[in-house]
Amino acid sequence: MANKTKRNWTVAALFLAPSIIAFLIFKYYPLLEAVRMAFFDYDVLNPPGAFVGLQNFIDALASTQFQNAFKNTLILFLLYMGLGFWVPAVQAVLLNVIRGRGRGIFQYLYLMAMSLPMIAGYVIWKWIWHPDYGLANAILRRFGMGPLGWLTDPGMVKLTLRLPLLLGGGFAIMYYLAAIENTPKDVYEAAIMDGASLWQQCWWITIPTMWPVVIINFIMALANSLLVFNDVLVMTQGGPAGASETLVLGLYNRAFGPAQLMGEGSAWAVLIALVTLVITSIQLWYSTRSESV
Amino acid sequence: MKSANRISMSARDRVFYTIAVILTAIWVILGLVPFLWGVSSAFKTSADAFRIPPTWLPKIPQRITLNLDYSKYDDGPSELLEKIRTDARVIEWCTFDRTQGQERIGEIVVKGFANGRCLYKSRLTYADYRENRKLITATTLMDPGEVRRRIPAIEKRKLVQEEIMPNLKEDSRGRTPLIEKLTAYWQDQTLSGEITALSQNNAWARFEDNFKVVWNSTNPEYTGKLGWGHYFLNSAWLTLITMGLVIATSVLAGYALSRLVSPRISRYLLLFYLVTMMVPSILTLIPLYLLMQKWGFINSYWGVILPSTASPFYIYLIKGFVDQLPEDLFDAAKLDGANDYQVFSIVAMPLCKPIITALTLNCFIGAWSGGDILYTYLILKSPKMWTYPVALLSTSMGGAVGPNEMALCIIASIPTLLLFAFFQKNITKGMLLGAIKG
Repeated sequence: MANKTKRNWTVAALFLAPSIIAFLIFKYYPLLEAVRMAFFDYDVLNPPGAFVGLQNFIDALASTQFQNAFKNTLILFLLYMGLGFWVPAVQAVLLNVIRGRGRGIFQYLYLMAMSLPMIAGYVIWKWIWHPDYGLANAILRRFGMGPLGWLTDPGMVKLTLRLPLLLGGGFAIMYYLAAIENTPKDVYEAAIMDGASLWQQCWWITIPTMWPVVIINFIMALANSLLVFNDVLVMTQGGPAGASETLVLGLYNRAFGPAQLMGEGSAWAVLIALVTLVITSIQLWYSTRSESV
Repeated sequence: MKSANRISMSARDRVFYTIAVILTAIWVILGLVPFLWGVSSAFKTSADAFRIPPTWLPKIPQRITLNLDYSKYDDGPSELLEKIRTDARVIEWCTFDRTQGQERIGEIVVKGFANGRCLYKSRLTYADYRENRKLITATTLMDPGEVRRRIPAIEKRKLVQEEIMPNLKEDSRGRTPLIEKLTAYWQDQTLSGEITALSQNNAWARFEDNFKVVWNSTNPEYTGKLGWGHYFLNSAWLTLITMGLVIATSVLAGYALSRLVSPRISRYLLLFYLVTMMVPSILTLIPLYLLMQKWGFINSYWGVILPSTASPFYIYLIKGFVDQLPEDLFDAAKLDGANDYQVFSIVAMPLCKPIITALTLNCFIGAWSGGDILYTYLILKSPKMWTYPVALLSTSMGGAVGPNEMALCIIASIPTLLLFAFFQKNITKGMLLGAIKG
């Protein structure tokens, strides 16, 4: 028996070793190192450089760049909430109503729109927003409205970056649908027997069943909203006049720009991570609670 | 559509149902608009795409066919052929130069006849013209004299497809605005032969030249002759290796958590893995970059692949899946004297096929679309090592984008599109797993 347990352990160790090593090197070490770096005036050639205590954090919080980036990130998040967050949820509910073959076709078409790699999608949108030759201004022109500087007008650019969300789609739909499809069929059948209309079924059965997923998506979106970067990098690089500079873009420019302010960049990263951590803790608390209920 | 369902629907249900269908249809169509606009733009020439107002659909490339007659000469066959070839070069290059930006000519075919017999036929495509125009001469607008001077340079590049086909019939003369324009132009130029026919028709195949031109638009110093194909292959390699390693480490870990360690240790280890999900990637970016720099992994795929093998969510999903496999199968195998490796490979792996397929697809889609693009972009600095998304990012980041970039975007979506077409069920199933657990 003792022999068997022993062999079991070597096998387990062999199976677990690659992932444990990977996690230690690529997750835990950088995590601790990032926090450490934030306290140094990091010198790339002679790491870690001078210890500066909380100076990096103070500098970050006091700098107009950080404040501007934070403000922009917050506005982008609010726009996301207003324009985009609810769209996939509504689309999933509507799709769930549809029966027969049409449903599969619609679902495939929603999926198809996602086949563009993320960067490719942003590149296409950049082309659509082109002030002279873009589709957006062509449509406006058709209705006799003047061309807008979608990505070139500082007052407009944040709204422009979030407008595509109105089209919805994305993997979120599939998550919602999956949640809805988990509902036992007899719940709907019972409702139909009681004479519930389609609308009532949606309101009283479909929406409540997907609600936990909506909440989790909301919290995830909140956490991810601090990390927005790719669309901004492709379409505006933070411009015009810093109107679309987000936290991650600011961090990137700081740490990987010519000055290589890795210490200050790390301080930014720690600040972003702290906020994210609070939000994801709420998510974890919520999802464990809803699981136990 | 089940008719029973239909009949049992009350009037108000039918109204709601109709609204749902219409709204969904509108949303689906709107959702496809960016993609379709990208496709439409990808098929346009730059001249057509940069036009106000934009046109909805690309123009169809045209084939211009010219017949020249040389019956009046009584030179020997080789001298005659020389005359025809010179005329053909002049016509091809001047016509492309004249019409570029206004007309979309996909290819020009020139046939030379003498006494009713076709002595020569050549064809020059727009792609070949466009790629070589600058190399032939620096003149902004070629005239017949300039082309004649450049014939050695043209012939050296072997651009035209020539054949001798004695049985070709003469074409008839067409009547379109473009033909009128060309006829007027060529009447003023001196050619050895006499134009007997000039016709125009659609050359659908020349749409591919758009893609050909873009495809070769890279710096050959970095990509060799493959052009964007080099980046495509880079991406393919990176995606495949990432997929293999990520799935392998995750399966091993997930299986071990479920079956090889005690529940208490499993809980702690799972926590060890899952806690990292709460760490945003941006926090680890700088130290990870410095670590890779120290290891000499800048401009190396290992610098991108290795960090991605730490993937907590996959481990979690695999553990959950193995947990619910029937215990008796494992017991039976053990009774038959199978050791741990055999149980894993003979019993567990075949049963885990659904989740492994789903996660592999998921991993493919993620890796193909660039993964953590900011990190990849930082690690793969050299244009030689770029993956497709990184190359796309680099080309479209700075300036304006246009039809060329659209073509590249559309090509990038093809692998995923194919995957969706063949594996839609598995992909949605994979998401189901994610949705229940997440």
